[in-house]
Order: sequence, then structure tokens, then C-alpha cells
Amino acid sequence: MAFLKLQNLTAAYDQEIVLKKMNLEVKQGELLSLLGSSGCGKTTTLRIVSGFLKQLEGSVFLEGKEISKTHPSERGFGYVFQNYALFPHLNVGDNVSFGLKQRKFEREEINKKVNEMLDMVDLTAFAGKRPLELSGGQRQRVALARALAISPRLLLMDEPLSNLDAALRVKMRMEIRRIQQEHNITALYVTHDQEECFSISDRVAVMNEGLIEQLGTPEEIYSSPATSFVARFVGFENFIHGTLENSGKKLWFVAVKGDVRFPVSESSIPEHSAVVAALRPDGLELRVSESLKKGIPGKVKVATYLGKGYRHLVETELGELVADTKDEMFAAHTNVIVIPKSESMILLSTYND
Amino acid sequence: MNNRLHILLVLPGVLLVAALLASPLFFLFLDTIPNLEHPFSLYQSFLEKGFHRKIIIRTIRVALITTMICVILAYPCAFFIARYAGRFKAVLIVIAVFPLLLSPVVRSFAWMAILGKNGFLNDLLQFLRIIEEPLQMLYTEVAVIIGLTYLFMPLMILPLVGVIENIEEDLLDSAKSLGANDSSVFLKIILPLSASGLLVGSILVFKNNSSSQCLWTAGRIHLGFYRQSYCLHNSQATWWRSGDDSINTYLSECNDFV
Amino acid sequence: MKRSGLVLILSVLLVYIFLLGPLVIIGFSAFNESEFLDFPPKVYSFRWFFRIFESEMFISAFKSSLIISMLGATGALLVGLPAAYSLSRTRAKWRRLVLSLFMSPVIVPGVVLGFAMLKHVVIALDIDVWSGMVMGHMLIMIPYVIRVIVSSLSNVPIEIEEAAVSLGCSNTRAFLIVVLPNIRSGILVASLLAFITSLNDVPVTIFLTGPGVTTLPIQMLSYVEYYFDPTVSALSVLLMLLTVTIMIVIESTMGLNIFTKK
Repeated sequence: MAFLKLQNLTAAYDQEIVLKKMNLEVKQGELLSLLGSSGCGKTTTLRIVSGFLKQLEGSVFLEGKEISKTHPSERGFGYVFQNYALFPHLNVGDNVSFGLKQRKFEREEINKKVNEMLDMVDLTAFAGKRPLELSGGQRQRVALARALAISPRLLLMDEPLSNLDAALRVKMRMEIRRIQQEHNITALYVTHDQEECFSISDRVAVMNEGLIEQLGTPEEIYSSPATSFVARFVGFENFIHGTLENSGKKLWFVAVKGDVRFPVSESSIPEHSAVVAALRPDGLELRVSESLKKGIPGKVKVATYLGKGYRHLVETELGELVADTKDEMFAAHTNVIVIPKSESMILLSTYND
Repeated sequence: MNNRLHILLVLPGVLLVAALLASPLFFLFLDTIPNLEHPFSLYQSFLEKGFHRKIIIRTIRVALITTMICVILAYPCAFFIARYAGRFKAVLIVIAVFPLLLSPVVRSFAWMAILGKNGFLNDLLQFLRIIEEPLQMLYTEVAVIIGLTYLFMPLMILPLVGVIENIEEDLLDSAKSLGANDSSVFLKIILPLSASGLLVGSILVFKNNSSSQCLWTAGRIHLGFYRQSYCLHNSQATWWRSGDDSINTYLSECNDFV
Repeated sequence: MKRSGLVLILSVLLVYIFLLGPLVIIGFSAFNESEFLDFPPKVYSFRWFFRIFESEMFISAFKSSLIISMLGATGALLVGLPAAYSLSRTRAKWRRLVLSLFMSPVIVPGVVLGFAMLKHVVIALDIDVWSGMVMGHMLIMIPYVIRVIVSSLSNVPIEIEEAAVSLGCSNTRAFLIVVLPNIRSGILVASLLAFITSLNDVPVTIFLTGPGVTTLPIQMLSYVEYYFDPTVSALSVLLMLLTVTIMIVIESTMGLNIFTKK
């Protein structure tokens, strides 16, 4: 039985439908991320699970029991807000002990737990300080400690790192993952940052316009995106339309324009159907047009330096393609041949923007 | 769910204001319409009397002059406070706010002390031998204008400071970098952007004018509707109210619009 | 830019002398021995202040003022606090309308307010003078209460209440232990502003006044109609001191920026 089950959730916000019959199961002890850009419904999902928003249709089950009628104060979930929502009039220690005081724990027990929490997030020296006196990263850790102090059955985190600068984000996400794994806490994590999401999640649900486009482990999603939306999200920037043909016992991808065809390994997509070949920028090779390799002819529009290599925008008759190279740079207006690496190619059956 | 609670929370306040302000005003308006065939007959007869017309014209004239003086004086003042005052900004705002929190009685009395026959100004002028006999300054229209300007100047300064503060330095810099000279910058960027502040200030000043209690009009000059309604019985007073109503509705609409 | 800079400074000086000068003058006259408002005073004395404290009418007027303003402020707070909370949290369409309704006592001329209330509430419903007066003052205090508390609540975003709820509080409890402590200064400032507005009010009060019920400003007004001596100056000085005290409290809690914000 799944630990947390969301069944056919439909929700609206200000008269607009933001979730459309969403279904999701979360396993105990896993960190599952909801990944998507703003407006896709990920925060709405979190708010429904926490009880702060009422769904129009559907149910939420925790360990088999429907909890939609339970008041948020009784669900026992820890919630970490995007801007931390620390109580300004209480010091760090009182912030962290807040939930415990509500549950009428004994004073000694509270103190012990608070110390444990502060120790876990490395803020023991700050117990007497007010939120105003803390930096962003410190406030984030207090928010986390506060949510964990009540030993929550489920940890809900709403873009907890998005207000921190880049270096701090990387550091903090590893901390969060470490704590989550050490204590085997089930967590639902909302973010729009793909790299952050993939580095800490057990599974990822990529969301778009109220629907889950793909659910899987980060590895699965990264290497085999199911839709063009997901592909874009994980770094595929080139989409070439074509069809699948069978010729000489081999499967070929044939582009719609030009004389471009590539062998592909087996695919579940039926032949003669329209497909889209997706490639990451490093899945394309560039050669000067004088070379006799077979590929897509084009002209470099602009080339930029990325540090780890060079990125080229190439105008071809199949559209604008993005190709990365490691050492060699092709200047603007150079005529080139773009060669897709078939092992880096992903085939998608539909294309939607 | 939440909406019901919110409605419940505002309800007492809404009922209070509705009962004490909205419905009395509504009935007041009804009072001024005696019957349906001649709905504006009371207004007509009110305006027919030359006496009344004189008062209305005088009131509007005074209000306009006061507003204009306030605008002319307050604008550069607010400009300075908002942009150049630096450390003194807080102090200057405090001083501008202070008179607002004093009773209008106190403020009007201060001018009585200055403009009276034995007052400060007369004493000074006599001392400097500019005049021989004390001048009659109280109970004139000029005195009223001075007094009203004094009462409402802060009401013009404060919104203007707020609005001018919000004009970002970047906007002006980009205008200058595109070639505008100082007066263009002022006329085309600063003035339009601060217009809302000007409007708010002017409306406040204008509206308060019609309601103001000027000490020195007691028994001497009939200024505005206040004077009339205070003296008369209720039924008669209705007539005077009628004029007030139209201005009142107009001002309310203006303010909602702003 | 130099010349326009000079113009600016001159205008500021002019306006501020204009604003403060008269107050300084009556300040001096309050300590003047003679009963003429001459300036500067030749002899200083406190006689006018003593006169105030000996005068029955001023003392009772002040007492009435105090009672009315305090009762009114309490009522305005009781009604205004929940309303302000609701207005700051709701996203409903009626929000703007209700907000305008609450601000309307500021827009409507006091004369009209007072008269309308007199005719259609006090007389029509046969309400006694005291109640009518307190209600009228509540009405003029509400806009200030609401504006200040809404502003104060904007610093306490709803997430803080949600955090408290997620940790185990009921909604009401969350409000009491997490929101209230953080708007304490807002409530104080709102009360002070409301109080002083009510204390100083003339147009509305003058209609609602009746036998035995008169406020300090009204009493001062009628005094000036017959007598013209520095007693009123002395009263003014006392009122100015009160106002300064209140302003100091406001500044040290919420800051005086509430007057310039739109």
C-alpha cells in the first residue's frame, strides 16, 4: 500500500483549473519531487496535501485512510515554506519548539528535542536569536528544524531553496537530502530547478498544466523523457520532425526535409508514423561543410563560449539547431554540417509545445 | 469556506458604517426630493435665492484659491523633502504631520491671535511704522483663505511626498541619457507621475474646505454650508443640505475613482 | 540647477515657517501675563493655565472628551480589527468596495456626516445624546483603525498563520498567538490616531452635542465667541504637548511613514 496516495485530484485557484485529475502514489521513506514551471500545479498539490486548500474533486489517502476532512492542524505534516514563515516575535529556540508546545510535551522533552534539531541543522549557537538577525540560509535551516521537530509523518517542502543564492542552494540541498535519508522521512518536494530536483530525489513527477507528464527516477527521466515537454525540461533543445521507415531489415528515421536519414535501434513507435527526434546540444556534431560526412547542412548564426565548450546556433533547412563542441569553435557565418549522434537520439511520438 | 468567515468578520463594521453613514446620507438625499414630478424643486428654489448663490460661489471660490495656493507652495516643498532632504526628511515630515493632529480650533485660534486688532501682525506693522491704525484683517475673505490654507497645507504636502518618492531615479536618468533637458524631465515625467498625488491632495483640500469650521466666520461672514445648517431648524436645514449633497456625491465619486 | 535649488529651499523655509509660526506665537501668548495677545510677552506667568484647571466647564468638557474618545476608540477597534484582518487576507471581489466604504467617513465632509446622523439616526431613532456622540465618533475613527491595522498586517503574511496551523494550532489560536503579538504596535498606533482624531473633531461633534455633553474643542469654540484671552492659548499648548507625546509614541513603534504612504 502506498504511503501517500493522491487520487483524481482536481483543483481550482481563483476560478482557474490548476489540477486535472491528478494521480500519484508516494512510497514511505522516499523523497518525491514535483518538478515544473510556475502555474503547473505543483504548489497547489502540496497545499491540498497539507490541507490549506480544498480540492474540487478527488481524495487524499495517508496509509489507506482518507484525510481530506482532517484539519491541517491535525495532520501532523511538517511544512517548509518558500519564504520560511518564521515567527518574527519568537527566537529560534521558540520557533523550533512551537509545534512541540502545541502538543503539550513536557518541558524537558521539548528542550531535548530542540537541542537535537538545532544540532542537526548546525544552529545550536543561535537558539536565542531572532529571525531578523539571521541570514537567509540560517532561516531556512530553522524552518526545516521547526518542521522536523514534531517528527512529522510527511515532510512537505515548497521551493525551500529558491530564495538562496546559487552556492548556498547546492550546499543546502545536500543537507536536506542527508537529513531526509538519515531519518527515513517521507518527503514531497516542490521545485522548478531541474538540477536540484534530480540531485536529491528518489523519484520525480514532471508536471505541466495540471497534469503529470512523466513519473520516474531521475535517471529514467533524464535519459528517456516521455514527452517533448519533459525532454525540454531535461535539456533537449533540438527537435527534428520525421517518420520511421523500415528498409533493409533496419529501422530508419527519415527527416521531413532534406536527405537526412539515420538508423535507429528498436523503437516501440509503429513504423510509418510521424515522430520527433530529440537531441541535446551535445548530441550533435559539427564539421565544416567541405568534409564529406553525411549530415544536415547549415550555417552558424552565432557561437558563444560556455566554459566547458562552445555552443552554436546553426540555421538549417530543418530549423534552428543548437550544437555544442568541446574544443573547436566555428565562427558565425561558417558553413557547417550538423551530424546527429544516433546513440544520443530520443524518439518521441508527439510534439507539443 | 474561508470566504464566509471573512464576510462574517467585516460584517459588524459594514453594518456600522452602513447604518451611520450610508443610510442617513441616503435618506438625506431622499429628503431633498419632495416628490417625483418636480424632483429637483428644492434644489431649484435653493439656487434661486441670490443669497444662497452668493454663498456657494464664495465657497467654491475660496476653495479653489486655497487649493491653488496649496499646490503652488506644497509642490516644491514636497519635492525638496522627497528628494533632497536626506537626514532631515523625517524631521520635516514630522513637522508637516504635527499640525494635522492638532484640533482645527487650535489652529484657527492661532490665526485669530495673529490677525486680530491687537494681534501679532498688527503689532508688528505698527511697530515698524508701516501703518498707524490697526488694520481689520479678521473676518475678511483673505483671512479665511489664509486660515484654510493653513489647515490643509499638510494634506497637500504628504501625499505629494509619497508619490514623488516613488518616482525612481532610474527613470529620470534614462530620460536624461536620451537627451531631455531639466525642464522637459520635469514636465514630461515628474509632473505626470506625481499627478495622482496632486489629485489626492487637491481633492482633500477642496473637500475639507466645504466642511471647515472657521472661527472668525462666527456671526460675521457666511461661509459655506456649515454656517447655515447650524443655525436653522431641521426642516429648513434640509434645504441647505441639498447643496451639500450634490458636492458630496461628486467628491465621493472622485475619490473612489482615484 | 543652483537657482532652482534655491527656489526649493526658499519654498520649504516659507512653508515651514508658515506651518510652525502661528503655533509658536500662541505658545508664547499662553505664558503671557497680559490678556492681550501681544507678542513678545512683556511679563510671563502661568495664570492662564491655572485658570483652565479652575474652570469647571473646561474640566468637565475635557472629561467628556476623554470618555467619548476612549469609548469610541474601543468600539472602533472592536469592529475594525476583525474587519482589517479580513480585508488583508481575502481576495474576494468585494474587497475594494468594502475598503472604500470604510474609508468614506474621511471623504464625506464632517458637516454632512454630522447633520445626516443627527437627523436620521439620533432624532429618527430617539437615541440619547451620549450614545449618539460615541457612535458618531466611532464612525470617524474607523478609517484610521482600518488603514493602520491593514498596513500592519501586511508585514505578517498568511504563511505565518499557516505555519502555526501546520504545527498544531487551530485557526483562532494561530491568530491569537502568532498574528496579534506582531501587530501590537499597529493596534497601539491605530488607537492613538483614532483617539486624537476624535478628540480634535469639530464638525461632526457640533451636531451631535446636546445638554450636558460637550467636548473640549466645542467648549473652546464657544469660549472664543465671547472671550478673547490666552486661556485658549494655554489649552492649545496643553493639547500640543499631548499631540507631541502621541507622535513620539507612534514614531517609536511604527514610524511616521504611515502618513506619506498611499
